[in-house]
Formats: sequence, C-alpha cells, structure tokens
Amino acid sequence: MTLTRRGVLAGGAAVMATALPAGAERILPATGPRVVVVGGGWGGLTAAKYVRLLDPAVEVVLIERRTEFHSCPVSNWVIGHLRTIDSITHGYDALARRHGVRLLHTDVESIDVDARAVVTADGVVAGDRLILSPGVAFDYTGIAGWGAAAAGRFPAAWSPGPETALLRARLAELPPGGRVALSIPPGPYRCPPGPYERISLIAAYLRQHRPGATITVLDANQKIVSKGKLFQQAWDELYPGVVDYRPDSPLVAVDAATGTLSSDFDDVRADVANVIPPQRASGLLRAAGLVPEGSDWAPVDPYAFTSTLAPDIHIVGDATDQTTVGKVPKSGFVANSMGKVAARAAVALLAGREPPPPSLINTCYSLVGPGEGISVGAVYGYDDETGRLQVRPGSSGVSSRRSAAVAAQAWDWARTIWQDMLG
Amino acid sequence: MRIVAPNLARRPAPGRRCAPVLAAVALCLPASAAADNHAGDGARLAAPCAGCHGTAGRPPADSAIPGLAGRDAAELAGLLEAYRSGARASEEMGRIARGYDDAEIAALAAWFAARPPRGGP
Repeated sequence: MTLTRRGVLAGGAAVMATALPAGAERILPATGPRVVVVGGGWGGLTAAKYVRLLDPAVEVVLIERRTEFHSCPVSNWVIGHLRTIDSITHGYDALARRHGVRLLHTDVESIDVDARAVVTADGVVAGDRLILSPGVAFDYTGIAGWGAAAAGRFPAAWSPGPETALLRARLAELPPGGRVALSIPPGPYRCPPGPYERISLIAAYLRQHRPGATITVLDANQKIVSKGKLFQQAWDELYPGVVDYRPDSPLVAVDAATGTLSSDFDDVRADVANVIPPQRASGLLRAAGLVPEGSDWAPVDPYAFTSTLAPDIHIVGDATDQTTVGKVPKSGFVANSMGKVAARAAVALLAGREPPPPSLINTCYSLVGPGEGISVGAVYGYDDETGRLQVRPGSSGVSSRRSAAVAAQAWDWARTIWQDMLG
Repeated sequence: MRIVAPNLARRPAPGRRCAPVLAAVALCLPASAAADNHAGDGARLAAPCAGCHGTAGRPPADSAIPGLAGRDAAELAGLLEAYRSGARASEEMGRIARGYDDAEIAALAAWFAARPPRGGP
C-alpha cells in the first residue's frame, strides 16, 4: 500500500491529476514548494505560521471555511458573562499580511491522500505536503430523541461562535429559581477541564444574578476528568447548593418539548440545557481513509505527526488518536505545540532532512470563578521505546490551590497564544 | 524533486542532539539569527514556550507573563534551574522547568538570549 502510493507520487503530476475527481478544477497553482494546511483552528493556524517562519521559501495555503477566528479556550468566560464574544474573535488577515500565508476561505469537500490535494468548493488545491487540523465532529447517534428540535433546544457551544452567544443569552433569560442542565460526554473529548470550568462559571453567574437557580450535571465519566479536587472544592466553597453533580451518568435520551435530559437513572427537566456531545475525528479524515474502521480518531506517529496510514500527510490537533500519540490532552495548547512539530517536520522533509525529535508543552488554565483560576500542565518528549509522546519525569502537575494570580495569568496566556497563532 | 519519504527508522534519541552543553549552545544557534532564527535545537525546544511567552519570547506589551527575547542567557538559565529545584516558587514554571535537562536549559537560554527583544519574526 505504502510502496504503491510512493510509486504514484514518484510518477509526477500526470499521475496525480488522474487521481482527482473528473472535472475538478485546479486552483492556486504552486510556484515552488508548498504546504497546504486544512483547518484554521489552533493546530492549523500554528502550523501555517511556523512553516513560514521556518522557511519563507515554502508557500503555505491555509483553507478554512470561517472568515473569523473564535477562540474555544476562554469561550466559557463568554457564556459566564465575564467577557464578550468580541473579545474571543479575531481576524485571519495578519497571517496573510505579516507572514504571507495564502488564505482560502471555502468548504473542504474531501482530501485526496494519494495526490496530496484538497478538494474544495472552489476547486482543487495541491501541495507537496498536507497538514490537516480539522478538529472534532459531534456524534449524537447514541442519544434517543435527537433531531432538529433538540439541536435548537440543547446547543453544544463546544465549537465557539453563535452557540456560545446563544447559551450566554439563555442564561440571562433564566427565570428566578430556574434550573440549568449540562451533560458531559465520555472521554476522550476536546478540552478535558472545559466542561467543569463551564459549570463553575455558570454556577457563579447563577449565584450572583439568579439566586435560587441551580445547575444539574450528568457526567458520562466516573469522576471529574481533570483537576477534580480543585473543581469540587470550588463548587463546595463558592457555590454551595448550586451545583448538583452526578458522575457515571451518560446522557441516553433527550426530550426537546419538555427540555429534559435523561440518563439511565434520572430525568432532568431544565429551563436551559447544554448537551456537550460525544466526539470523534472530523468526518473528512474518515472519508479520506485516515481513520481506521472501529476507531474514532486518526492514528499518527507523533515523531513528525504523520498519519500512520499515509506517511506523507501530517495530522495535528484534537482529531489525533491518543493511543498512538501518547496521553496528551485534546487542548488548544497541545494543538499549538503539535502544529509547531508538524511545521518543523514538514519543512525538514521538504528539504530532504530528517525531522528533529518533537518537544511539546501543555498548560490548561481554567477559571473556577470570575477572579480565581487553576492550571494543569506537562512537558512531553518522544519515547523511542514506545514510539509515543511521554511526560518528561517530574513535569506533570496541577495547581496546589485556586488563585487570583492564575486567573490573571490565564487571560495573558490567551492573548499571547492567540498572537502566536494569528499575529 | 524536493519530496523525500520520511525515514523514521533512524532517529536520534530525543534531547540528545546537542550534548555536551557547551557544544550544544554553539552548534544549535542558527548561523544567521535574522534569516534562520526558528531553526536549530534551541528553537525546537523553545517553540512551545511561545504559548505563554509569545513567538520568539515576545509577549504582548502589557502581558504580565515576562518576555524572554534578548535577556541574558545566564540569567535565564539560572531562573530555569531555580524553578526546577524549587528554590524559586511558581504555579507553572516549576513543573515546566523539570521537563528539561541541563543541556536543554542551556540551549533554551541561549536561543532566547540571541533573539532581538523587539521586532523580527
């Protein structure tokens, strides 16, 4: 399989063209070595900018449907009425202006792995290497009663944008003494501490602005997935009686007419409800043959973040399979780190050099209240024995307690990493 | 043809490309900082630091997280060692500093020290 594909690649442009759909129009012809990046989220943005920083002779085309970037980290602060949606919204233009990234805002229809080409609504864009960062897809198939009405009644707000603003607005409309419900999917999902930060900030909003209101949580996991003690302590001490947390309670059914979320044990009827659905790799990757049967995620070799199924294709971000990458969380910080590793590897491989070994960091900040935060993080290196990323000994840790200092730092971190991706 | 198939069978051991320390610092600095300042082992290790400290160690002007570009290499290495040993208290930097050995700390400090404090990519 691999040898065949490489044989095709060696055959050159005439062979590549036959692999593309009949009638597909080639656009943006390359004038030199080119990397095509799919997805303008944390992994893709970082990869695009860093390829250009590493080798200005390599052209970068970034394909992203949206014309504005909304940050997933900090979007919980918007839901909790601490920041506006504008504060997490940024343009992509500096990537083009300052770094010469060619932006193409269009829908990606498919990935042609053998041709190293991206089929978009505007035409086919080919490159010497592809870096794919398409993120997660939401999977509602296991939830009875799901449909259009449920989708309107129970927004996920797990990709930032209109649903973030919608959930924020619904909290403001909550009646006195009202009830909020939130469901958390089984792991792995994007942003392990994210649901618990959201619970904290909703609880803070309710306590301050809607006395008597409560939030009920149905968590598919057996305990709080990340920073558990610190979140539980914050809920107990800051919002007593507000948070009703129920572990080991996967969401199995919804009823949009009555606003009810159901586990096998409970029916929770709520005025405002947020279903954070189960997640898997973007469907683009499965359609391209980059997610094997029986798996939900794209297997990659974390040395260069190349697909184990197609070594000429890099995949980064939340869509990657932790069982092949190593136990790194699906966080924005990790996607940023992965984007840099993939960029360095792509540039090295284009120049005929061996890529250097990967080095990554994670830091996840969470607010537990308007002015107090906690963090978790680690440094990761490549383990030759297992072929996976491994925590550098002693480098993994979590805050000893919640603090105002970490909350302030969280905002500075967000502004800084946005600039590292977009500025 | 500039494409090469990745030959991932022959890999250098992680973090061992630049030992010993003094040789590491010299070998890993790019030949021309202006043209090639993201290449080399110091840059490879430093890249994820940008998540908090800004691209090439330059955070936004009003960030409380300190910039690293252009600071004295011995000062930066000393700070990382103090975070690593616990001599200097912190919420994040202690655990992060424990992720690097002496040679890596030297390479990180040298790379940030060689960056112009302002401007440049």
